[in-house]
This record gives sequence, structure tokens and C-alpha cells, in this order.
Amino acid sequence: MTSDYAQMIALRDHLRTITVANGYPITVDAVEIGNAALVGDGNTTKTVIALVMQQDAPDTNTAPQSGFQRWERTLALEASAYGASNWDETVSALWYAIRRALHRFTQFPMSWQPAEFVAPAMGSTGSGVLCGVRVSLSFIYQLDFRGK
Amino acid sequence: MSRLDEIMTNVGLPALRKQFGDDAIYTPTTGVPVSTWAMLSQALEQVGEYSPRAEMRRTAELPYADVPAPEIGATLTVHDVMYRIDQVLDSDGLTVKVAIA
Repeated sequence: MTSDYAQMIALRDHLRTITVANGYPITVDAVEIGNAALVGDGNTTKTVIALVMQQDAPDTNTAPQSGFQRWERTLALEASAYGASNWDETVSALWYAIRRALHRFTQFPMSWQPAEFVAPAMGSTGSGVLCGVRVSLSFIYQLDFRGK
Repeated sequence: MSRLDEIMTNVGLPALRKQFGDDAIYTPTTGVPVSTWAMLSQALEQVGEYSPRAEMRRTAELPYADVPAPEIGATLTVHDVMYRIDQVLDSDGLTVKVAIA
């Protein structure tokens, strides 16, 4: 397993500790890397978090020819929950829980971008029930080919 | 009333009710419930920017003559299932389309 994916798994496993039993205001039913459609299992009452890879940017101060290079991985954290009523209260609790969990995560440093809140959709096809929050997170990992 | 409206009122709406309509009870937030009928439809929509989830969205069309101005927050009961009216989406003088959840 590459270090970047191992770091994403560590983050995923940590976010899985978001439960009321652990002192959070909300319980996250599932956290997965990839597709929230699979995480949600078609059940819109579940609260889920998906971690989706967005971008890798090379550190220009390290040379790939030397076999060692730092990269900055950016991933989207997209969380969604059932918000047919009082969706803003639901999202507030969810976002609070995510931030609290991220503050407790000490395995590697991350930088955060501004978060966007998503209200349940309303349109010609009817009213939605899913609300959410999404934020981009970045972390540094090292690609090391030396001796390989 | 135009000729088209007359045809729709006398022929079109009864035919739609017979083929697609369900008996329904519209209950406003205050006031007397109205016994009417509705045409329900639903669509599965993807939500999410990076990690789509699917959710079912529902609409109902009600006869304008029975429910000319549905209230947000009123309920619609069809086959013992109670839906909340979230928004009025369209009204053409014959039917009123609402989003329900």
C-alpha cells in the first residue's frame, strides 16, 4: 500500500469514530473512500461521509529524479445526512462533529479549505431530503523510490 | 373559459383521474380537509458533487377546482400515506403541481 492511501485509510478510520457514544452530537453511519452512493446504500436516512481524491500536486523543492518527492494530496470530504426538516441544524451538528474529529486527528497534519453547506434540493422534480457539507482537505505524503 | 379549458375540464381531467388519479385528502394547516384526487409521480435524483447519493423526489398534481392554492406545510394523504407539501411548483388553472415529501 502506498503511503498516500494508507494516510487516507487512517483518516477514514478516525472519522468512523464519530458517534454519539464517543461524545459527538451526531452518529455517522458510514465513512468510505470513494462513492457515497455505495456508502449510503440507497437509504437516505443514513449519515455518511465520503472521502474522494481530487488532486496531487508535486512539491517543486524535491526532485523526482532523486527517487524521493513530496506530494500534496487534496481530497474532498463530502458528508450528507437526512435533512427533510431543520436541515441547517442537522448540518451544523454534522459539521461540528467533523471538525471536532479532525482536530483530534493527530497522525499527520492537514490543511482545510472553506466548507460549503448544501441544502436539500428543491426543483421541478420535487423536494429533496439530503443535506450536507463538503470541504477540501490537503495533506503531504512522500513518494520514495530510493533503493527500489 | 376557452374551448381547450372546457375540453380539459369535462373530458381531459376525468380521463386523467380515471387513468392516473388516486383518491386523496388535502389537509390545510388550519381549516377543513378537502376530499380530492391527485396524480403522484416520483423521480430518482442524484445529489452530491463528488460522491453522488440517490434520493427519491415526489410531486403531486391536484385539481385546481378542489385545491386552487395549496399551503406549504399542509398535508396530502394518499393510500394512507401522509405527505407534506413543500412547494407549489406549477399551476395552469386546471391542475396545481406541488413538491411533496
